[in-house]
Amino acid sequence: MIYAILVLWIFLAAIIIPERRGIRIIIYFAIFSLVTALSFFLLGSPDVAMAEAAISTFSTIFFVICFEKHFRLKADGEGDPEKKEVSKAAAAKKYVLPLLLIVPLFALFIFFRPGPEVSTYLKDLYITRFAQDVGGVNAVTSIYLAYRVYDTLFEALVLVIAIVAVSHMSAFKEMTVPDGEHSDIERDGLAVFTIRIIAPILLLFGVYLVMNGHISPGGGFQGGVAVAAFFICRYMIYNIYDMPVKKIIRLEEVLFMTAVAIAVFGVFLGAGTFVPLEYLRLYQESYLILMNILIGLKVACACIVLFYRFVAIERR
Amino acid sequence: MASILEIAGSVLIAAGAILMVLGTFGLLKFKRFYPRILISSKIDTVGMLTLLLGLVVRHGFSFFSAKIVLIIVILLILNPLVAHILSRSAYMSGE
Repeated sequence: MIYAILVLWIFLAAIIIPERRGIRIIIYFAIFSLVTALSFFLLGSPDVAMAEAAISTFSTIFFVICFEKHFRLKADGEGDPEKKEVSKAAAAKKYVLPLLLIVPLFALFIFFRPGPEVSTYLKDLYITRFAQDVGGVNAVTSIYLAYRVYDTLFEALVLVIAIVAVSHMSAFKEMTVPDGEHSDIERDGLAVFTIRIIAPILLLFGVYLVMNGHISPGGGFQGGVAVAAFFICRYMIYNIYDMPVKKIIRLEEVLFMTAVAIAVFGVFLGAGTFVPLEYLRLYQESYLILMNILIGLKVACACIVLFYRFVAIERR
Repeated sequence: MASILEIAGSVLIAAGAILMVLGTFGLLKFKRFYPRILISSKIDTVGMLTLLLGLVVRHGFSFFSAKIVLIIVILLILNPLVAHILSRSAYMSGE
């Protein structure tokens, strides 16, 4: 079964590549995503299959809408759809369709139990072995910082790419401005008072999330965003425009490269596996805390820079 | 054997969920900005608070419920503020 689907998968991929007509590409792509989701499900990861199905559905809808707009604009100069009178039946239909969708979903949510044919090999392996392999209490942290650390690094790379793209594709060349538009919140006494109370709690909470990522829910990414929220509060009250943006970007790159170096270091120690478990066992929780701090600071820097960029420079 | 506290907590959680569903329905029903912000603040504050209180009652007195109480306090401070800032900026931009 699974081999047939994988062969079909490759076949579909081979069909898509030479195809030149847009609408056919969309249809083939939707089928391809469906087959991908099916193969994910059969390989024992229903959650990834659901994510794939949702993404393929939305991307197909977006592509179709884009095509429609593009061709309508080409056809009659400017798109000006006339407003039609909505009848009562049509208005009722608007509520019926979501209900029809919601009821089966709800039934699925209640009655669906994954059968025994879904393999839980990896899950069992991770859950039984993470305490001795990596340490910590939170299995999720040990998965994303040890077993799947390269995935995490590429995820962190996304923010670096976002900053590079935003600052290099922008029409404005300067990185900092001396002064700009002030937020309206500073004239609102109630908001300023409350944010002054909340902002230190936010910073403390971000640090707590980063430092306790291996014990409780949380970790570098969430903690970094919470720390960046503190700086956004600071902007809202005091209108700070003298951010050392270049230094923050440099710091972010250094932090990211440090995280990559630590993750890759184990491979060169001759650990034997791709994920350096032998070397992780020596350090256990200190490794988790160090990586969480690095990733948290990196995410905080990236969020600060992006926020500053859009508020101070792109808004003019 | 479900104790009285557990039943009370479950009832509170269900009440919070029902309030949220009703609020979502209201959010879809109203079209103007100000009724919508009224409804959304109800969802955030009342529905969420009822749900979290239900969790506290169900779980009893522990470190876990202390964290939830902290979340309740932060929600009580922040949610009205968010609604206030949104409606203020809407008023100022002439909605």
